[in-house]
Amino acid sequence: MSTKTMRTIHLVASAAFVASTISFAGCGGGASEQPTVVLKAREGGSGGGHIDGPPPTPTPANGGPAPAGGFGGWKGKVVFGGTLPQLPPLIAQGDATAKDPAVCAAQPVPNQRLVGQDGGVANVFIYLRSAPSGAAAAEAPSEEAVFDQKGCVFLPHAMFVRTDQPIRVLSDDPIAHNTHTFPKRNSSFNQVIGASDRTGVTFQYSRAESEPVSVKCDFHAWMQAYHLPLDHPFAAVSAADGSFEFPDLPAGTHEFMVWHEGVRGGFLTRAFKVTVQADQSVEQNIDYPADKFAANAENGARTIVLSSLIRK
Amino acid sequence: MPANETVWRNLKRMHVIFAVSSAALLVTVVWMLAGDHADPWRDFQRTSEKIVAEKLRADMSEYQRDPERVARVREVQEQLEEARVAYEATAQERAELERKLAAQEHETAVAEERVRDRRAFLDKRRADYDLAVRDALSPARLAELLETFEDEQRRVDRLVIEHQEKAAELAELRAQLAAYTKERDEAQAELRRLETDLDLKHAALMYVEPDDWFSAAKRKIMGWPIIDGFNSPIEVKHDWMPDLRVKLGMSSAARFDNCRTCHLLIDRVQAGNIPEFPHGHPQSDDIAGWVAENKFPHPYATHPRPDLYITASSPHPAPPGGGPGTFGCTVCHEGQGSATSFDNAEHTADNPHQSHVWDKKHGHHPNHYWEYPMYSGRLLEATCLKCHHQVEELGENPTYGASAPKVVEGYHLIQDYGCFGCHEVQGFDDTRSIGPDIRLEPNYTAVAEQLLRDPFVLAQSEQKRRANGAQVPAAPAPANVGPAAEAPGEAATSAATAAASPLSLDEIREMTLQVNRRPNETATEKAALRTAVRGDVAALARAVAAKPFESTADRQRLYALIEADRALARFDMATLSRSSQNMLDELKDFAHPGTMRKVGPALRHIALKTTPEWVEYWTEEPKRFRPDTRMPQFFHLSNQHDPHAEELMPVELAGIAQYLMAKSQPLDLMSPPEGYQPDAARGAESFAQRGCLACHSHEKFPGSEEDFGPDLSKVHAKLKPGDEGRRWLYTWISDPQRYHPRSKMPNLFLEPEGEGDSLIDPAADIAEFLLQGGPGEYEAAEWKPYLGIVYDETFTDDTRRRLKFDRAGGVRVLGAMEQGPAVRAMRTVGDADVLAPLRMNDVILTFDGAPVSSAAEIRARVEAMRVGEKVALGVWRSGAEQEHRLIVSDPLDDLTRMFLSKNLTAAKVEQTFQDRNYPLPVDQIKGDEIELARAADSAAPDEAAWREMKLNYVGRRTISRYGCYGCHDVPEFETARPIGTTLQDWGRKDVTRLAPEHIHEYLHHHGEPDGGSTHERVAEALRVAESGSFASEEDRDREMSAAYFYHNLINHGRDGFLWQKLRDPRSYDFEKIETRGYDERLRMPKFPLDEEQIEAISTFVLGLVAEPPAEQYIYQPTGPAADRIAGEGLLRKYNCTACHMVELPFVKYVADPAMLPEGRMTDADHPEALDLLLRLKPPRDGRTGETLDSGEAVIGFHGLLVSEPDPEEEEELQEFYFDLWETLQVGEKRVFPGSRMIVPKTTLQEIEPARGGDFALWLVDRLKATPAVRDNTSLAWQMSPPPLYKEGIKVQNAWLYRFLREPDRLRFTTVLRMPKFNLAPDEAQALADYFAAVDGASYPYQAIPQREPPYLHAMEQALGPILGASVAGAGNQDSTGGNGEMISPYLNESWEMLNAPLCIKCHSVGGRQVQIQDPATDIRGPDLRHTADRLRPDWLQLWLYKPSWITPYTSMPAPRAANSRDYLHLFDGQPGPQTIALRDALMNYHRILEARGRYEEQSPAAELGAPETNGAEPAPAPAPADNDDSTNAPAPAAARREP
Repeated sequence: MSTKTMRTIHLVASAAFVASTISFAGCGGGASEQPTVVLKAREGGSGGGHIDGPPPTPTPANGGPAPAGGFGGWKGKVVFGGTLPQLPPLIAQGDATAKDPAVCAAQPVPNQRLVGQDGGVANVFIYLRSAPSGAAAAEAPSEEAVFDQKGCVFLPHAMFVRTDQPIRVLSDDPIAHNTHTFPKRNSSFNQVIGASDRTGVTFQYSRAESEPVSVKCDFHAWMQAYHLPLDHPFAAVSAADGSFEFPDLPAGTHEFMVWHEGVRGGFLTRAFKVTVQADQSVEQNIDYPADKFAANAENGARTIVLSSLIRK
Repeated sequence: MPANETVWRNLKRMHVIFAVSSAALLVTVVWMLAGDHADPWRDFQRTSEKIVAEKLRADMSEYQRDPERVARVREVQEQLEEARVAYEATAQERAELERKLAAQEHETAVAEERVRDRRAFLDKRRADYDLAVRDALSPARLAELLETFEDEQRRVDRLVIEHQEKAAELAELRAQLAAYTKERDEAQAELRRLETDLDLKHAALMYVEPDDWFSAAKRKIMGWPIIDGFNSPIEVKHDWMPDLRVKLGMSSAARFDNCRTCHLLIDRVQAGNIPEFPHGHPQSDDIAGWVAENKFPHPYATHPRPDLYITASSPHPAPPGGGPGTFGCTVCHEGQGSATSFDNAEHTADNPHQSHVWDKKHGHHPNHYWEYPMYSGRLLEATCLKCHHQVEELGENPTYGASAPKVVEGYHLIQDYGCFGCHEVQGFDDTRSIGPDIRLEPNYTAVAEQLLRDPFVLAQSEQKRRANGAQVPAAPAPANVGPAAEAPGEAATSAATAAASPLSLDEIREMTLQVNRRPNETATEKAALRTAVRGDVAALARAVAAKPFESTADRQRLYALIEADRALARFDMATLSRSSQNMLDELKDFAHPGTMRKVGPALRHIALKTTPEWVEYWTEEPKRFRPDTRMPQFFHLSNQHDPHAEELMPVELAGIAQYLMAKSQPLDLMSPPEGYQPDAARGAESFAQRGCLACHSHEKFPGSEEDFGPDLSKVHAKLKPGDEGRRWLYTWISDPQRYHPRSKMPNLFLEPEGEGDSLIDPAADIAEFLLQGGPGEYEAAEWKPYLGIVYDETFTDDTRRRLKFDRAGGVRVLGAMEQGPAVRAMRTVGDADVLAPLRMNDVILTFDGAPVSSAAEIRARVEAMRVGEKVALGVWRSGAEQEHRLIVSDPLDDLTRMFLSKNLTAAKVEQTFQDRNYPLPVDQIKGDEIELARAADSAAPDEAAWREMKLNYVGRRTISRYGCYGCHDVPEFETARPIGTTLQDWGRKDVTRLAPEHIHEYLHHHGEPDGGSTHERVAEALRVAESGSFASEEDRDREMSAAYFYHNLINHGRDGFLWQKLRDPRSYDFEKIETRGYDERLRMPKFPLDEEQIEAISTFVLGLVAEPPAEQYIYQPTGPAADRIAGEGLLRKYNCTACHMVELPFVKYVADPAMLPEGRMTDADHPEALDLLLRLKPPRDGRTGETLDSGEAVIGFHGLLVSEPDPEEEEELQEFYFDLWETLQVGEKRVFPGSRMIVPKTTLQEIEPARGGDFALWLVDRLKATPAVRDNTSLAWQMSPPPLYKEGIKVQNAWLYRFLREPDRLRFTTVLRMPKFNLAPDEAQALADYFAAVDGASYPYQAIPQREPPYLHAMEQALGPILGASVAGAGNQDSTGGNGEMISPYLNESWEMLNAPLCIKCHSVGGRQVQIQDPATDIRGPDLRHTADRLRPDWLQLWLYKPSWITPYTSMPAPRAANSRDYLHLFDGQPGPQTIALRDALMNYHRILEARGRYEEQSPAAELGAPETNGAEPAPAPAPADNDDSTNAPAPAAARREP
């Protein structure tokens, strides 16, 4: 087990979730409200303290963080190279053909495949594959992450959690939902969450994933969210305006993975380089070229399901 | 004569002679004894003993060196030493103690002596008293004596106590003394224990190599001649098998095997049935080296499979000495068991090279006086067939794996290639099973179909059609004989047909008997029978054709009616034609019917499918059209490369095509919906996804290489061009059984879906896709008029000189075609015309007077003439010149003549040609000649019709000769018998009855596919073997195999004969065709087999000996073992394993058990689920027992691959992800099914592929690439055929049986449906039983206690307090259903639970339809009405607790988390009872539904705008302000309650 050192994460979080009886009518309402991950790290040590985690990767060859070279910050924004498209809602308000229309069509269900404000893209995951060698191993936060659903929408849409951190799945809808995760390195979670269940059911990821995990509701096929469990705290999800911040990175050059659901294959880049200097905060934006966005993955599908409809 | 001193011989010399001869005799005796004693087996036994001794010494020394043990010994020795030191340190105390002890011992002994002493006095006193009583002394005296006695008694008592005290003191002293030695004694005992194994080994060693001189000498002397007759350690070892008799010439005797005499160590095993002396080829020459390498040469090796043979725990025990029920050696290996020498035992070398080595070493030479030499290693598996008649168990066995894979492969090849179509393997001698049984099934369907072509039946159908005229569109066919065209109910129910005729089966039989017995008094019967025949035959035939093996009653009735009709024929009252009546025998019952279907497609309606030109093209050389076809080649083989064959083959091919087309029967073809526009691209996708690729391949889909059915890449080129071919294909795809009721191709339910513009007909789309590429063009075979002469194309000068032909020009005759013009040539001699056939070495000088100089010239002139024209040839013969007159002829005519000449005289043959009619009345012709006959009153056919008749005749003869009907259903061959020899005892075929003919010569010059010489090939192989320089082990195997068979063949063995017969069947005709008639040539076709396959088939056929041993030896499993074997055969027969995995992939990797995901129960899991899990999926030990050199353990598990490593990751970070499907136990750690297993690429050892499921894997990969699935393996699996993992514990047998017969639509997430196979009822039953048998589940019947009153009552009792607590006005109070049936409150509430807004999200339930917004993305589960009959209750319960434990990829969530309270009005919101209630409601589904009717929503959902069938909830009740507390608040119940 790793040393019990002192990194805490302030997920500026739960309050935002609970308060998220957001009006979805407006554009971009689906963006996660939790903007930044604030890291407090002051001690050296190796990451990857979890049993089932991957072995720690060697730090990037080109300029690893300076040994005990101090800590710096990185602030930035995911900037879309063009005008953000207005995606039609997945379920229009009052759509009687939708499943459970009384609940699910009471408000329009936004398409969150690409949302943002002010040219920024929300819900982009920016993270390190493993903890940099200059950083101290951090214990998983003991407080629970809350994963809620309301109006047949998952809240938040994109969420970073730590391995072994309990996730409490709640529902604020008066109908049953089914929360179903499709992780790669963890066993999947597939459990009915009862109507208006404010006690909820908890689960956790015991292993770090290499990319965000798709979360779906099999009852309501449009419901979609993403979880990114990692065994270290160096990850952020871009806020509604695309902004994000890493306040405490070991000095040196880091290669970040940048992942967004709208990109075919997921990764905007697997190696976004940022050089951090001790006790300074660097500002560097991430470009999201418009042509990287695959408008709708369902188009062109030729899956023929044995039912009376065949989709092209 | 008086005696005197005279002697005849010089005595002295005589003494010398006597002395010398005595000495010589003595020497001879000694020599003889020595010779007799010098058997090699003694050496083998002595060497074996040395090996054993060496091994023991090695083991002992290893044991002694074992560091752990050494450490322990040292430790104990140290303890012992310490104890000794401590012991010695106490010498003084001990001396004191010992002194005391001695004194005490003395005192105790004295005390004891005193007691004994005094007891004598006591006895004396007792006796005195007794005597006084006897003598009736005075009471005073008596009292005195008693007093004395009691005094004495007291004294003794005192002395006893004294002794006891002293003894106790003594014991105490001894204990004190022992305490000093305790540690020493314990250490000594431990040391002894540590030596026990060693001692045992030492004792064993001492037995073979005693170290004291006396024992050693005794052992040695025991082995001396004569003395060795008395229990010598070196002796012949007999195994006696009284019940396994051995055939010795004409008699049989109990079997004695002496094999162990040399193979002394054959049964030596270590713990775990591991060979103690494993066979190998050690580098070393000495015993110590062998032991060090742990490789032992023959005969010192242990049997390689002691788990299967010899050992007591194996299924074939062969204990030393034998005895009843034991196996011995020769029953499997053959050879001469009584022999005690290498040669006499009849060892058979694996290849000639080995034979050569043996010859050098042992002077080995085969002794052909022993009929059954040992099987060579390569053919050894053949022997298994003696007892294993089902064969399949040798290929798949849960305990022993594939124990005889080669013979099983041979068995499967014989099934796949349809060898049984010509060569029956009759597995039954009367009712006794004598070997594997491979025969065609009874031809019921074809006979029934042919009966429907009977003129009477046709006329009747036509009449019926006219009667219904208005409704029925005029079909092109005179009758619809396709059984599927009839409504199944009408066709198949015997009840319907029986009603047509009032006669019962018994009455028909009885009446027929009467008619035959009393022909003149049975007019009534005759009339009744005639009515019955006319009324019933058509319907019965239709029923039999559609369901040949289920309509036994119909078939028996049909049989009886035809029999009756035959009886009526004598009175001219027959209804059916003679040929229909002749099929009678084919309809009878068989005690052991064959089970094989014909492997080729039916040709009964072939005119609808393809063109005659294609048939010719295909038949001529099938591989030319489809390189991977299994159809063998009949033409252009090695006995057809002569002018004779060149002329006649095209005629035969044309005849076959003509016959098939002429006899092809009509059939109603299906068409896509009117105006439908098929889409080829969509068809391609349907072709890929709907299951076609599970059996077929297509060049457009390179990844899929299934070969159960043909490659369809070129199917467009073989079908009829235009609409007809398209309709045929559409019909075939839509409903294969319509075209061929016995086809194995299943019905894939490719039904049109949708309406109007969105109508999609997948069958039409697939047909469109397959037909892209357009029709092929083929030319019909042609032949020209000819003279029937075989010309010498190169008339060389040498030949001219040899013939003494001294002129220029001329064409030499090599021979004349049988029945050809040259044979019928005439010459005028004097006034008479005489027959003057052309002969070999005649030279044609002139053609109609003009000189000729080349064959081409003559041919050209003849081809320009017409058949029947006359030609005069000037012929030079042995120096003389003559004119021969020939009539230009046609090969077709001559072939016809040739066939006819077998039955008719030459004159009759010519008459047939003149009359254009066979010279016999039609109803007297039984053979193929029927094709040349015409009805008595019909006119002679014109030229074209006559040509067709001749072609039909030639075609029919050719089909008869080649036995095409063995694989294909050919009209009018319904009663034909297989043409080949039966094979059930071919393995014992007398070798003198094989006719190797000129094969030696053939193989000397030919024999290889490239034209090379087999002899050369083998010679080269032996040279390479000698030098040991084969490039690879495969090369060696292949070449040594060829060498073995080649040598066997030239030594006239069966093995080689068979091998060559399969390689090149016609090669036995080498240089025989010159002396054989054209139709006497060998006919066996050449199959596209490689040499490995040939060896497998040979192994199987050579094992067919029809010599079953005693009953108890024959493997006759019962119960699950039998059902498993039967099922294995069916899985293969119907290719079930193409779609379904029956065993999941097995992943082996190196893992630290600590890294495995431990199975932990969370709060959301139901604790009861764990017990169920452990019962249904008991943990399997994940340790494979293998370890790497580094000492790391290899772990193995069954699971499905979820995703491959990410190639963009660094190599050492790459990981495979699997879902675990079983419960795994690794040491203390338990891993639950459904866990994600991470297997780093660097530690992966092996992924053993799944058994079956190739198509499913292919489909999953394909679906993952679609955007709708987007790489989600779970979804892709849900769309694909499911693995049948633990299917036995899942489904109820009866349901599976029904589902296999009539698969209804079950799943909605799949892209394809379970097709409907053409399974017979017993096959479906066997397959249903198979799954239960494999998984150890109960079958055939399953109890469902959840439906029974005791269970329901108990639930009622147990849940009483929480039952119905919060329900007001719901169904609970009305526990009486609409029909008055009582439904218990428990079931009522369970029903509420099942219909709560939970299951309806994905399943149709309670009479309500699930709402599906988009079928492509919404998950829809199976309709729940199936569940009660489909699933086993325990399985279902576990499924409801934790679906991912059963099927890791499922979308089904755990419906009720154990730690959540919901649906508070039901079972008090408690998830445990609710989950059980769900199961019980499902198990009682139909009963509750019947009682309660369709489930009605309890609250007015409509007002919220939700559709009624939606199952949606109302809008949220006005949210209470304290939303967070709502779960804890029991009230308001109405607000919390879901509608």
